[in-house]
Amino acid sequence: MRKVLGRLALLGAAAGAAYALRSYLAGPAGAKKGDVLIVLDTGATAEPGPSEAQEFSEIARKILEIAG
Amino acid sequence: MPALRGVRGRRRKMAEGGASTMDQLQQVLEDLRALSGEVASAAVLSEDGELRASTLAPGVDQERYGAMVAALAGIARRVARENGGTGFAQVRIREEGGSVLLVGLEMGGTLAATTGPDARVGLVLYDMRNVGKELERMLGSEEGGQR
Repeated sequence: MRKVLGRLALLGAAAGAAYALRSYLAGPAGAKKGDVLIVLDTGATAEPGPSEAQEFSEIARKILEIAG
Repeated sequence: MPALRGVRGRRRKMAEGGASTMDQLQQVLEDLRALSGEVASAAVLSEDGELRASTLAPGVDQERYGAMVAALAGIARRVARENGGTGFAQVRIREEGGSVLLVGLEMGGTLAATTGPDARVGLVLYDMRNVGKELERMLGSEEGGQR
């Protein structure tokens, strides 16, 4: 019984460490980026690639800052 | 839509009175804000990225605002071309502090608006598209008049 409890405790500690590591890695880089959606003149929708999405997001933030 | 009817009436009066296109554009943007209370600011840019009119408060750096919107429109056109289009109909960029919305106008112009974070963006875009038609007519008649 003691052996089982010990293993359970170890398992819990490992799961906790994994969760903490995941949260740490998801920090700034994984932060919610701006939601960008483009509707083309053809009616189709497009989502820009990561670098373009980043550009959109940065400029949009500045516009919102300026506009107040 | 009473506000749009108002815009048309004013446009007629202004055309009769010889008011400048810029004043008319400004009035349409103000009407958009009145129609859609969630619009924080609105601006219209010509094809070459020149800020033609806006509802920005005095003291706001209009040139910078216009340059930023023109940059967004430029990237949106590039993405549109990469995806088989020739331009964009509308763009929605949602940020923590609010949304930036663009509607592409005929002849390459852009109608831009900003909203707060909790705005009903779909409704605002609908109003922007309606107002966009009015702006296209104004910009189109201006271009026709210059020929």
